[in-house]
Amino acid sequence: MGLTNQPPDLLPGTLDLLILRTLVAGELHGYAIAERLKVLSQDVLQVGESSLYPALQRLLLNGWVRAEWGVSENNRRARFYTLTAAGKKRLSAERAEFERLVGAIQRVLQMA
Amino acid sequence: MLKLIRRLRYLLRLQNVEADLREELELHRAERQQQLEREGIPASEAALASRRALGNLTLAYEDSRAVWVASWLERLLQDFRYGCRGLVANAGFSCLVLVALSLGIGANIAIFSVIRTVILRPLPFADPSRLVMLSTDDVKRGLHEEPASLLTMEDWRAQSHHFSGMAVFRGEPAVILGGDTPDRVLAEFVSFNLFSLLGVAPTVGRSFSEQEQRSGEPVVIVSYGLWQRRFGGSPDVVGKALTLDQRTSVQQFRIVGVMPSGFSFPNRDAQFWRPIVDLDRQHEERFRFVGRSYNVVARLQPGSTVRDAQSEMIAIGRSLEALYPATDPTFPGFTASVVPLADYFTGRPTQAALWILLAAAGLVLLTACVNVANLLLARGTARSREFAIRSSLGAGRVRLLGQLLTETSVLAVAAAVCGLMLAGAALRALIALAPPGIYPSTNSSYALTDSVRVLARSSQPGIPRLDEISLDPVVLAFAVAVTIATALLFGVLPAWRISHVDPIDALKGGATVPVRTRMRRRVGSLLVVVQCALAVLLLSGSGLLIRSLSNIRSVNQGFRSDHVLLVRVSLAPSAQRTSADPVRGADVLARREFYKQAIERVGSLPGVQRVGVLTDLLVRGYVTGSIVVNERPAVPVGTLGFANVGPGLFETLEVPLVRGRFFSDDDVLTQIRLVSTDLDQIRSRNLTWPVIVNETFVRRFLADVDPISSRFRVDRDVLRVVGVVGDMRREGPERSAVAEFFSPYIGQTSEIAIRTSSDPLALAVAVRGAIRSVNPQGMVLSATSLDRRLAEFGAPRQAQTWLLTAFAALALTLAAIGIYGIVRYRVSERRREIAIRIAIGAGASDVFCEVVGRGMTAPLLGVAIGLVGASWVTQVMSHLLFEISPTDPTTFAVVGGALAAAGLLACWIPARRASHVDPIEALRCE
Repeated sequence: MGLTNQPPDLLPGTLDLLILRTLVAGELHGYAIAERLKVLSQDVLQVGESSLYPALQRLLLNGWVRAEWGVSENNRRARFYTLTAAGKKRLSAERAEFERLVGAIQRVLQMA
Repeated sequence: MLKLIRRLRYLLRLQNVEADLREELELHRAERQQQLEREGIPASEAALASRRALGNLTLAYEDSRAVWVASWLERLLQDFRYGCRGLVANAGFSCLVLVALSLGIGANIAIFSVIRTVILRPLPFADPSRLVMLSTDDVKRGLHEEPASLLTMEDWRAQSHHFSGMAVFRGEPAVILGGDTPDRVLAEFVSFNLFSLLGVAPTVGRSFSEQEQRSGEPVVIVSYGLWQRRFGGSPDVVGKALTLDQRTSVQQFRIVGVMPSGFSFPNRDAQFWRPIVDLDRQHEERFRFVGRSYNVVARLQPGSTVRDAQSEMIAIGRSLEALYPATDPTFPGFTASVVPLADYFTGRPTQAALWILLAAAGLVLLTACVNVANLLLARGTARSREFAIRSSLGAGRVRLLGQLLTETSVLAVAAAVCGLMLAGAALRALIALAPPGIYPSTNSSYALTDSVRVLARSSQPGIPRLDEISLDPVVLAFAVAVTIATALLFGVLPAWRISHVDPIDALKGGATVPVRTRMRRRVGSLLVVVQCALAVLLLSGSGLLIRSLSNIRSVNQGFRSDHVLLVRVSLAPSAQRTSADPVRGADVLARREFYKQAIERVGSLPGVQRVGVLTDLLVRGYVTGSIVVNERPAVPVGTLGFANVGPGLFETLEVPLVRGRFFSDDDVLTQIRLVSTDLDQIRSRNLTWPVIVNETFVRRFLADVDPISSRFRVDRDVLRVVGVVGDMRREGPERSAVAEFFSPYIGQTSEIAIRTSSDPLALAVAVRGAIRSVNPQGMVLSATSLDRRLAEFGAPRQAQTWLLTAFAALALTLAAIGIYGIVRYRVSERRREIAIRIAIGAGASDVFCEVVGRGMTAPLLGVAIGLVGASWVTQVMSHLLFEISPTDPTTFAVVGGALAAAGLLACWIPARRASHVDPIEALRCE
C-alpha cells in the first residue's frame, strides 16, 4: 500500500521533510499544513490531501511531532501539530541529506 | 523501543484515536469546502469538490490507521481471530486434533516431571555431584553395591587421595516405644561425620561428636517428621528420651538434635540416626571379612573425578587383597566400585525405564503430530479454493503461511493447556498408585546364633523421591518447548504445501482441486506408513509386557495366596530385659507360650481354618558363607535363604511336603533348648538343629544323598534335615526360588498367617482382639491380606505395563484416525471418477474392494516396517520381560493383525460411502 500514498511527482520521503519544515514557524492543523505547502510552493506542490494524514501519523509514531486538540481560526475543534526536539533534529538531518542529493543531481545535470 | 510503547499506547486507546482521525479528516474537508465557497463555487458543488480533493476518505483513514497498527501485530490478531473462527466452524476436526495433541503433550509433560524429580534434580545435600558411594562388587556371585566392613573402609580412607572424607551408614529396623502406637521405622547407624560430609547441619541441637561414637553413648538425632509427630515440634526436644526396641534390646536414647525438614538419608523410612558402635579392636581382624554391613559414602576432592577415584580404588583393592589373603573362597575382595550417589539412589534400571517411557511418550506425540499434519493436509486441499481466491486477491505466500501457522499455534497452545491439566491429574494418580521409595528391610528375625550373619536386604524396588514431584518452572519450560516443537512439526509441512497452491489451477478445477496430486498423495501415504510403524512398535512393546504380566500371574508360587491374612506381631520385651542380657531360654519360652496361645485363640475364631507363624513370609533372611554337607569339602552357598517357621505354617499356606515331615511342637522346644545352650556344649555334645529344606536346596546340595537325616554345617551350626518342602517364591513371583532352609523357631517379631474361609481383611479386628487378649503387650504392627502384599511386588511392573499399553492404544487410535483421514480424502477427491465407473457398470463391491485395497497399502507397509523395527527395539527392554522372548512371534502376529484390523475398519466407512456414490448426483454437482 505504501507507494499509493505518495504523489508521483514528489521524491519519496520528501513529504515528511516538507511537513516538518512547515511546522518550524509554529503549530498548525492538518488543513493549514496542506494550504501552507500549496502557498509556499506557489501551487507547484499539490500534496495529495489523502496522503497528508498517513504521513502525519507516521511522524507522530516516530515522535517527531506532537498533536493537541485546540480551536482553529474558524472556531472549530482542530488537531494542532507541533515540532518536537527530536523532530527538529530529524528536520535538519533530512534537510542536509536532501540538499546533498539535490546538489548531486544538479552537478550531474550541469556537467553531463 | 519508544516507538513500540507509543504503538501500544495507541492500541490501548484505539477507539478514541480512531474517532479523532475521523474528526480531523472531516474538519479538513469542511475547511476545503468553505475555501471553495469563498472562491464563489455553489455550496453543493463545493461539498462534492472538497470530497474529491481529499480523495477516498476511507482509504485516507485506513492508511492513517495502518501507520499505527497494520503491522505484524494486527495481522497476528486478525489471523488469530480468523483461525479461531475456522477451528470453531470445524468443531469435529478441531476436537479430534485437540484430543490427540493434548494426550501426547500431557504424556510427555508427566513423564518429564518424573524424570526431572527423580533423576535430574540434584540431591538436597551440599555439592551433591561430588558425593559417591563406595561398595564392593561381588562379581562371582553377581551381586552389586555390596556393603563393606568398617576395617575395609578405614583402609580405603588411609590409602586413597581422591576423597576429602568418608562416612558409613547401616540401616536396621527398630520400633519406637511409648505413645499410643509403636512406630516401626528404620534406624540408621551412621559414623559421626556423616552429616558434615553431606553438608547438612541439624536444625535444632547439634550433630554427633567423635567421642560419642567411641564411647558408644546412647544418643540419637531424629528426623523432622518424627520430631513433629512424637514431640509436637517442641524446641526443648534436645535432652529428651526416645525408647527404642532394637532387636535384642530395649534402650533409652537421648535426643541431641533434629534434622531439617526435607532431609532424608538414605531414604524417608530412616527416622532417626545414631552413632555406629566402634568395634573393639580384638575382634576386628575377623570382621575384616565377615562384618560387611556398612554402606560407605564419600566426598570427592575438588578436581577429582569418579573415573580417577575408580582407578585408584582398583589399585587399592589389589594391594589389600595381597595384604589380607582371604580364607573364604566366596569372599568378594576389597575392590570398591565408585558410583555417584544419585545413581545409587535411583538405580540404573529405574532411570532406564523412565527414559524408555519418555521415548514412548515422544513417539506418541510424534504420531499425534503426524496425524494432525495429515488432517491439516486433507483439510487444506479442501480449502485450496479459499486460498486460491485469497492469493489471487493479493495475499502473499508469507501471509498465507503465517495465517496457517497461527491456526496451528492456536491448536497447539490449547492442546498444551489441556495437556498440562492432564499431566497434573496423571501425576497425582501416579503418586497414589506407585509404591513409595526404598522399603526398609522388615526382617528383624534373630539369627540362629549370633555367629551366623543374617542379612536382610530390601527386595522391593520402588521409585525414590516420587512424592516430591511437582510441576515446576523447568517442567513448564519443557511444556512450552514441546508445544512450540509440536506446532512447528505438524504445522509447517501442510502450511508450506497449501501456500504453494497455484490459484489459476485451483479456481479452474472446481470444488476439490488437488495440486500436484501425486506428490500430495505420496506425502499422505508416507505419514500413514510412519504412524502405523510407530503404533506397531508401541503395541509390540506393550504386548510383550502384557504377556510377561500374564506369565508372572500364572507362575506357581509354591503356596496358596488367596484367603490368607498376614498379621505382624511383636511381643514387646519385658521391661527387665536389658542389652546385657540378650536371648535367654526363659524369655524365648515365654515368647513361645505367647505365640502358642495366640495361635490357639486366633484358630478358634469363626471363619479361621488354619494358623501358622514365621518371621516374614515375603522378605527373606539370607545366610552367606559356605556349607559343608556330610563332612564333604565346603561349598560356597552364594545366596542361601532362611526363615524361622513355627508349627502349622506350611499347612496354612498349603506348601506341599515332598519328603519327611513338617515341624512339630517338639522341634520348637528342641530349638529353644539349643538357643539357650552354650556353643561349646553344643559342639562337645554333637547336638544338631532340626531344619526343613526346600527342593532347590536338595537339588543343589543333597542331590546324591538321602535328604532326610542328612547333616550339613553352616558356619558353626550343624543342621539336620527332617523334611523337604516344595519351593516358595517368597520374593514375588518374578524371582525364582533359591535354596533355603527353615528353622523351628519363633522370633520376637513374627508374622502370623491365617487361612480364612471368607474375606481375610474382615477378620483383622477380631484377630487383633484375640492377640491382645493373650498378652496386652503383644503389638499388632500390621494386618494385610497376602494377595495384597503380593500385589505390592508387582505394582511398579503393572504401572509400567499399563502406561505403555495406554500409549500403544493411543498410537493405535491415532493410526486409525490417520488411515481414515487419508482414505476419506481420496474418496472425495475421486468422487467424479468413481461416479463414472459406476455409471459405466462397475458394481458397488468392485468399488468397495478397490478403495479398501488401495487404502490398505500404506498401513500394511507400515506394519511390516514396524515389525522389523520392533524385533530390534524390543531387545532394549529384554530385562523387563518375564519368560518371553523379545521377538515372540505370537505377540508380533497379534500386533500385526490388530493394526491391520484397525486399518480395515478405518477404510470401511469411506469405502462404503464410495460404493454408494450416486453417479447422476456426483457428476451433476460439478
